[in-house]
Amino acid sequence: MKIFSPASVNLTERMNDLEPSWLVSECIAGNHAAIEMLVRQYETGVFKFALSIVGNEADASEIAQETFIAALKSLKTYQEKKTFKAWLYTIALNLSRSHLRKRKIIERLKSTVSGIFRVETQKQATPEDRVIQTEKETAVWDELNKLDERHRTAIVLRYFHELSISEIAEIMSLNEGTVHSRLHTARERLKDALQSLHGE
Amino acid sequence: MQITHEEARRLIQLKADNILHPANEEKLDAHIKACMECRKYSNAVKDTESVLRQTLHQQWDIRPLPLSMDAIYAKANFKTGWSLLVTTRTALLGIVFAMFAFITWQSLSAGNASYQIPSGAVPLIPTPSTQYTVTNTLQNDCKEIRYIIQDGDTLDGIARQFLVSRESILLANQLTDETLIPSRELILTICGSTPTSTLHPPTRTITPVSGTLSTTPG
Repeated sequence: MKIFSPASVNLTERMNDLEPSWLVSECIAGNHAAIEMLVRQYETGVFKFALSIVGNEADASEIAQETFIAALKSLKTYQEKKTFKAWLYTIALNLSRSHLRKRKIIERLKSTVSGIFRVETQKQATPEDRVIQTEKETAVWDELNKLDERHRTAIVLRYFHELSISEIAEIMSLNEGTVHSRLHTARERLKDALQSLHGE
Repeated sequence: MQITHEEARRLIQLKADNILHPANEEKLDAHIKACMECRKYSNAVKDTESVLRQTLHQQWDIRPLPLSMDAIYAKANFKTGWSLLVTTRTALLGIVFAMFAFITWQSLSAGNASYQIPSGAVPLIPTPSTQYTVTNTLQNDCKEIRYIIQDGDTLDGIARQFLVSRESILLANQLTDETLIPSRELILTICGSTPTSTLHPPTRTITPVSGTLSTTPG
């Protein structure tokens, strides 16, 4: 699909404000002040990004830390083909996915164990669940959690992190057409969930 | 030019992703104005987006605690990676070298001691179970020592320990029988004895005893 992308035109310009290349060079040179500046600049974004994927603050914090550790270790391999933010978020995405895989394995093990020993486990209400206030938000939140990770991540990057299609494509290592297609599908499902709420 | 409802919906979705070409935007606007169904669809998409943004921000708009830089530096081994490795290895090599040097020095000084210390200064004799004192150095590499008799000592035992004959002990001490009285001193003359067990530390007081030279051969 050929997509006109005005976002990509001024993408470099937008990201340059956030990503002074001298900062990266200084970090490679081992300037601790520069490293701290870099971490402070992106830590909230990376944390929220991880949180939006793994859904748990403690895990998100751990992933954020691991993201910076991994990034600093391989900073020399960073090439400016990707924006620094996109590169960083890609690392965070990979770490989050790996975390989810591990969690899935553990949950599967737990359910097997509880099945064997007939342990009754109750689904506990997470603090996040209590934040939801309106019926509409509940419907959207529930539907969002039913989406698979690929669609959910695209939606989160678009509507929580307010990233452009080209940025999402960079982070998720996809082409822009695929990103749009995923967003389209996910939006349709969320829209249907909202409409079914009112019996439309 | 008119567009179909299906085409209009596709353009609405592109617009939602901010990738709609301006030329198509005009077509879409014109269609939406005229088509109530597509207007409804467009509003539903906008409503979904609005609720979605609100929900996500309510969920995750959390200001995290700042990350610990120390933990990051420690795990990333950043910058100090090479130097840390070099430092660690240098330190290890240093420790190994220091240990080697210490052991060498110890063995050298032990070797030197055996050459430098006069034969009479340190009694190179087997250590019995109790105290003795070198009292004099005699000719022909012979030494005279004082030995304090301990409980349980026998004449044969002492003779064996000091590599001397029991007769020489009896003679030197003018003893007539083999009864040994604990705490009494025994004068022993040892010639050319070689150590067979632990060396006694060279901290003994050397107190020459005059007039008690024994000529008894060992």
